[in-house]
This record gives sequence, structure tokens and C-alpha cells, in this order.
Amino acid sequence: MGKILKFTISLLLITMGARGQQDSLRTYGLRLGVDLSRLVIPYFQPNRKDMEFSADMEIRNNLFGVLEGGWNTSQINNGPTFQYQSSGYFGRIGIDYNLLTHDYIQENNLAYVGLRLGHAQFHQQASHYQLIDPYWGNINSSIPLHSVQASWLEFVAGLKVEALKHFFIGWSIRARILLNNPVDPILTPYVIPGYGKGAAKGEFDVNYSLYYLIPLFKHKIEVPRISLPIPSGKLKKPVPSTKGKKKRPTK
Amino acid sequence: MYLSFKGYIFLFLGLLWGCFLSCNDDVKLCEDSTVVNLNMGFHQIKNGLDKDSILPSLTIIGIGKTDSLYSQKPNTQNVILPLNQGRDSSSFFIQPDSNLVGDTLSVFYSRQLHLVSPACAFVTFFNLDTAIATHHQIDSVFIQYKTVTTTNGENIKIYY
Repeated sequence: MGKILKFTISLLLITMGARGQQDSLRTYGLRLGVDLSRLVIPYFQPNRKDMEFSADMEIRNNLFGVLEGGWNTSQINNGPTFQYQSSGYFGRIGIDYNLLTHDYIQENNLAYVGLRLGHAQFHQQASHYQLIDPYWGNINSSIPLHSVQASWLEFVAGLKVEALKHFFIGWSIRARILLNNPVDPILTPYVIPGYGKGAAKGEFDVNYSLYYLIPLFKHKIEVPRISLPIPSGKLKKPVPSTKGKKKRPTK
Repeated sequence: MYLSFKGYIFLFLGLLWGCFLSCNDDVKLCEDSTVVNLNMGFHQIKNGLDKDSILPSLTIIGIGKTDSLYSQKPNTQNVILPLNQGRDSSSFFIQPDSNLVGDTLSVFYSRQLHLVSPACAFVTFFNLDTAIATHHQIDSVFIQYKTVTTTNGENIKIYY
């Protein structure tokens, strides 16, 4: 295990550190994205409608500032048993760090890890619900529309690949931890916008997004080029082989 | 030029994501537990150690109800009890043996409505606050796990 870790760290250092450099121009800009996976959700879960957008920009070398936002509406009508509605907005702020080195000046592919702080503001109600209780007696009641807030911390890892000039596709895997629990002491939300299932203290999610990079400016950067590491110690001048050569007679 | 190997990666992950979504499809079938009951165990302290207490003929009736939850059930160490979902307290008459005077146990709690899934609908989760009892037979009452959900251990320990 220790050897594998040592090997991985060495490989990372070689790819990131041992390289030559050359000055060139690189395009920077604001990358806007839409999460395509949210558009597919209603086909699997007809009671949910979600939308998610993102914007990111390189603020320092390989460090990206990220803003994400969107909304969710959930409407479940389960006949005489219950009717539930919720709708609201969410926002996330955070950073991504690119782990890739750029082999070509115009290649903006990213393999990144990141951190987000998320917050959702939404309303929910159960306009009617029925609880079956054969001993104490069934309950028919309702919970009026009320406001709920939720905050969470999110770890992200993903890829963004430039498929066409300035157009990117990408996916990300996300692990979320709810910071305020219970979110609602009266009624556990079915879905927290931007987070996932309201009953879960931790949540995993996958996003598939399409991005467009709005080119804003070009900047001279040092382009890394991979080169082989030079072994330490002085190089010795190669000694010509004397094998098969006749020794010159000395006078 | 841009996509080749990467294209396959995306296709693979797309299928993975589709699988992930379909696995989370909880709209049509209720596959989760919707049973929420208070779990209660009977104990005694012997030589400073916590031992199980087996009640010879247990009867439990909800206060205000005529039907019994347990009627002279022999050799019982633990029971599950439904809490009243319409109130913030439930009381039970507990008689460990038919020839002994019974006790009244009152449990106070807060309630949270929980939407399990579209198919399973709502259940009520409880957060236990206090439990008090008369002391004809019962020595003491101890709340071990405050939350009463679909998965919980022994919420209340009753010592005789």
C-alpha cells in the first residue's frame, strides 16, 4: 500500500513538476453551463422538475471560482392518501482546482476537484395527508405552506472536456453533507433543491453538463512541456570501445 | 479529433448515471419500511448488573382505549408499542402479571411527518422527550434512544 502511494505521488510530481516552459497566448473567459441530467429526471421521476446552471472562471492558475444555481418543483398526488407540493431555489459557491497539465496552448480540458457551500430556500406543504393507525385511530390532516431553508457542504470531482471550440461537455460526482438537520421539524422535505432527498443527511449525485466558454481575453502564460527527468550526477563522456581494433604499435 | 477515448468514457458514465437514476425510481412501488413503533425492553438490576427481566403474563392497554395491545402474553422481555400520531404524548397501562397491580407509563415526544416516497406516503417519526411511570411494580424508566423511526433499537428500558 505504501509503495503504491509512493509511486502515485512520484508520478504526480513528475507530470506536474519536471517540464520545460515556453511563453504563449491562452484564451480566458467565463464558462456557462447547463446540467443536462436535470432535464432527464422527469422521465424517471415524473413528480420532480429540476434545472441547474453554472458559471466558472479561472481566477488564478488552475484555480476556478464557481457559482451554481437552479430550482426544483415537486408535486406528488397520491389519490386519497396525500398531496404534497414544494418549490424553491438554490445556490452554490465554491472553487475547483484543475489537476491536469495543459499539453497544448488552446486545450482547456479540466480534471478537477472542488468544494462548494450550498444553500436552498424553498416552500413546502401537504395540502392533505392521511395516516393509517389501526390502534389510536386514522388521522386526516394538512400542513400549510411554509418556508424552509437548508445548507450543505459539497465535495466535487469531475471532468470538463472541450468537444468543439469553446464548447465543453463534462460530468461530476458530488458528495453532500447537510449542515442543518432537521431541515424542517414539522415535515421532512421530499427534495431539497440542489441537494437531493430531504431525508438524507448525506447525499451522492452525478451531474452531466454542457458548457460554453465566452472568450473574454488572452493572456501570456508559460506553457508546460513534459520532458524526461535528468538523472542526478555528472554525465561521463562515453569511452570508445577498443574491442576488435588492432593496437597501434608504439615506436 | 477531440473525442475518441473520452467519448467512450462519457458514454460509459452516461449509462452508469441512467442506472443510478433508474435504481432511485421509487414512484410506483413502496419498498421501504413504514412501520414506526416504540421499542421497549424490561430489565432488572442484579448484583450491580443490567439483566433482562422476563414478565410472566404481560398485559398492555393504551390509556383511553379498551382494546389491549398485549393480553396476558407469557414470558415477555420486550414489546413494540404504537405511539399516538395525533398527540404529543401516549400513555399505557402495563401489568406484568395478572395478579399484580399494574403501572401507568406516559411518554412525551415531538412529532415529525416524514414523506418516505410517493408510493409509501407519510409516516410519523418521534423524538422522545420524557418518560414517567407510577411505581407499583416499576422501579425506574430510562430513555436509551430518543428517536423512534422505521429503524431503531430499544428506545425505553423499564426496570423492575
